[in-house]
Amino acid sequence: MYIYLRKFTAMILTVLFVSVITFVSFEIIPGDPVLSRLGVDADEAQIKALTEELGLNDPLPVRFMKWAAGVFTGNLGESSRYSRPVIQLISERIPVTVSLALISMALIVVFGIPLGILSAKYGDRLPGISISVISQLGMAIPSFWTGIILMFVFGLILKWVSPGGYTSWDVNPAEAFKSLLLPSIAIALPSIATVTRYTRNSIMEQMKKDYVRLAYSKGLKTNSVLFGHVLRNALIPVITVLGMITANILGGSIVIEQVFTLPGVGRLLINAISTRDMPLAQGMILYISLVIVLVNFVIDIIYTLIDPRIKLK
Amino acid sequence: MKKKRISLRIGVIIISSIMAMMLISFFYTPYSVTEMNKRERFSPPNSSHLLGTDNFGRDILSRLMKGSQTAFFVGGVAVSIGLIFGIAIGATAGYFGGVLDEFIMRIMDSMMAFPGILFALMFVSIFGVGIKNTIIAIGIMSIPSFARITRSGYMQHKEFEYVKNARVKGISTFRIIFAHILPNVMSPIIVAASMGFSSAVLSEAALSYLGLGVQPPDPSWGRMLNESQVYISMAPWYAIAPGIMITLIVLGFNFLGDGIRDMQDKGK
Amino acid sequence: MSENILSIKNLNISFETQKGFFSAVKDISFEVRRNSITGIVGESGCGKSLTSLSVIGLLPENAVTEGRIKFMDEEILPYNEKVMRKIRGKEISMIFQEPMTALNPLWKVGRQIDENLKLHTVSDKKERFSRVLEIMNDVGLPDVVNLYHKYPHELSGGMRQRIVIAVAIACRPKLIIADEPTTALDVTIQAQILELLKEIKIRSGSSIIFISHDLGVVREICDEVCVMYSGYIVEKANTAAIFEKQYHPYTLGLIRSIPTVESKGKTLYVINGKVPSIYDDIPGCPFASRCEYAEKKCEVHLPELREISGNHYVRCAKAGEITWNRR
Repeated sequence: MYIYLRKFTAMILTVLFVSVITFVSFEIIPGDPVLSRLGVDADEAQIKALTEELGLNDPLPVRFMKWAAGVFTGNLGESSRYSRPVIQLISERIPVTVSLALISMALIVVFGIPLGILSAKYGDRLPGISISVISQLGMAIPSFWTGIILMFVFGLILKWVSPGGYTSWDVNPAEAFKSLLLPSIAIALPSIATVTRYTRNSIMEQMKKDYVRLAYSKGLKTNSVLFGHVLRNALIPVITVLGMITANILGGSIVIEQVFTLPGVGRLLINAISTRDMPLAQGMILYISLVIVLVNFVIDIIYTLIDPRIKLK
Repeated sequence: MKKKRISLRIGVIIISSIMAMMLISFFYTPYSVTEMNKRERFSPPNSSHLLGTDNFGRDILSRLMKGSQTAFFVGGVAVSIGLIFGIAIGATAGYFGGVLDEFIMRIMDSMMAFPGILFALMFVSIFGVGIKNTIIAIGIMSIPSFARITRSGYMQHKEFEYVKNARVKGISTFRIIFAHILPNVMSPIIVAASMGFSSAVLSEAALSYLGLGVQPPDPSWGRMLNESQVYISMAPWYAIAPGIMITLIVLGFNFLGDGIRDMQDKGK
Repeated sequence: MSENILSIKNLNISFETQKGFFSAVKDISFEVRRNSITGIVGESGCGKSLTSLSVIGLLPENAVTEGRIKFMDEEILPYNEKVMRKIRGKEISMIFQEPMTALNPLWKVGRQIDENLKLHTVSDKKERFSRVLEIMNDVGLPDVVNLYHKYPHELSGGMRQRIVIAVAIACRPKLIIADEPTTALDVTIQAQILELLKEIKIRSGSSIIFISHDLGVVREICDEVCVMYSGYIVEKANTAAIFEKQYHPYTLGLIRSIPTVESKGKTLYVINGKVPSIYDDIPGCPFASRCEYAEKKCEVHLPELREISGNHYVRCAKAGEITWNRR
């Protein structure tokens, strides 16, 4: 139990740290938030009233507390551009981004791990070498370029999907999936390559261990040794990379939503930044980072459940 | 062993060719980078424009060449920022250990869990877009990975005899950290620097693609991809060339890093 | 049926690496009698582990093996992977040096013993379970039902080594290869494990190849001893004979470096110099550079392994010529 408590405390500390950073960063923005809202020719009384309303006269820690309370009650203020609550804007965009993330994650697990196993098994032979060459390429190609090319080939030349179109899940699930598949592939590709390489190295590392020799000395076939003994041991470290992958997926989706003009969280964020809609940008950056911290926490817990060596400590 | 040498060779070949291209671009490009030519808009690759022209009739090859300057500049400065701060932070945490180490590494871990692009976006939304802030943001992003690697080297080496001897001799802590230990823990850091270069170039390209990185008239491969996307049905070649360049340079630095690591492993 | 369970003739093992071709085991011949323990002694890198791996057919992939290995009157060289898989774990099994790492950390220990039975002999699950408990009892483990469901990290080093041994004896193999099975253990546990191995030999009639760098331990347990140096067997005889009289200066050195009650307080004997690198091609006796009795001819001419007295073999040109001074 102790270990969970420790991990939980660490997670809370990280959440606190991320919140403070996000808050303070946006506090030091050059420019007066009141003036930027009212325009330069606002009169004295207006400025005073809005300053009061926004609570800008309070000392910094008090403002942080108020803001932090808002974060957890879902009250992040109003977007200066859309004049609507930030939380509302974000929640409208969540389905697209979450769908992208889930499809990408599925692609990464379904392709990354088996390719890693294949590449470890046929290390020096043709399949192994070609997988490792392709995974090198996969890590080097920028995902937004993959996106552009995919859209050009499948949208403009083959016309399998309508470029730039998005159908929501509740309108037509099949169409929705179709419109999300290409962007998900673009997001997933670099991570598939990473997971492939990681799985491969982890398996190769395990294959050198003594227990593998013991398994062989029992008279097991290579496949039985690989799938019965090595794989589970090798996949434990791979699970920890999935945390990093989550960050990659969300980062990738910010860019890819732009490429495919999908109405997701990422696109909203880019809009917020381009139009200097600070409350919106601040809220979104915080929420995205909290999601990542939480996912990492969950992965950490899963990790301790899978590995019997950690349970007892 | 044969295969390993290949990594290094491919890396060196790719990087030195792109570097040569960059050096040439300081003195010579086939056409002016900024000069627009209405009559030659969207001309496909031909003998006078090897890679074709863009929506303003500018020569794509010339812009690609100039773009390599941006890539190397952003990558070089960002990696230097990451190296300087990463080594200082990692060395402090690793050498002194204890609560300080715990505290520093907690922060580094939180930074690492952050998607780099998100941090960079936050940075430019606060301090404004442009090449300077792009570089600083990418540089800061790369600090944690350098710090982590440096730290583990120091944790190992501070227990070694030569360090204990130096301490007994009364050599200052500062000198022990930077003159005695640092050269011994450099090899993995060099590998990380090469890999860091790749991710810096990728981040710059992504930011510039989003329109939040390098601003016109500075040429940038990421920015070129952004512009090309609008005209992709008319001029697909415009979208191909910059993408290949980004892929090549990233591939080059990754291979270089792998190759250097294999060389170091072999030396042991 | 011959009296030898295993006979190795003129075995050579070499490797093809990027640095070139080198041979690690050179012209090794020895026999393992039924129901006996044969020790192979030597420093690390002398080829003793490779020799044992060649018996079970688990050499690294880039190894080239020449010579003859006969197990239970069947030639197993060149290896047939299918045949070897049937032999491995059933007829020949192995005990490894590091009990800490030799077990799969994610499998309950009972299942690791069970796997061996499942693969080769018993198919009924219930029967296997009671067999596993029986075997665990045999190797001296307490509270076996409870222990069956434990993970390796929950056991002490000595207990883990007993599990490793249990895996090895599960199918009552004819030959067990024990590769430094006690090196990683505390001295008291070491003695217990040696006792256990002796017991196994007596009870089940298995033969054991016991690999060690420690002549003291070998004296405790082995019936026959082969001393290896730099890929060669330099001396072999039965244990009593070799401790009675050593014909090779290297064997002498090894025995003199065993700490004894009499040697207490005195400086321990040390063999000077270093083992030659495997990449060096030495035409003469590999020990010549470290030997205090070496002459010119030792450096140019490799001596044969010859029988110097009844069943006592030595590979030294000067053996018998002079009496080595013991202490």
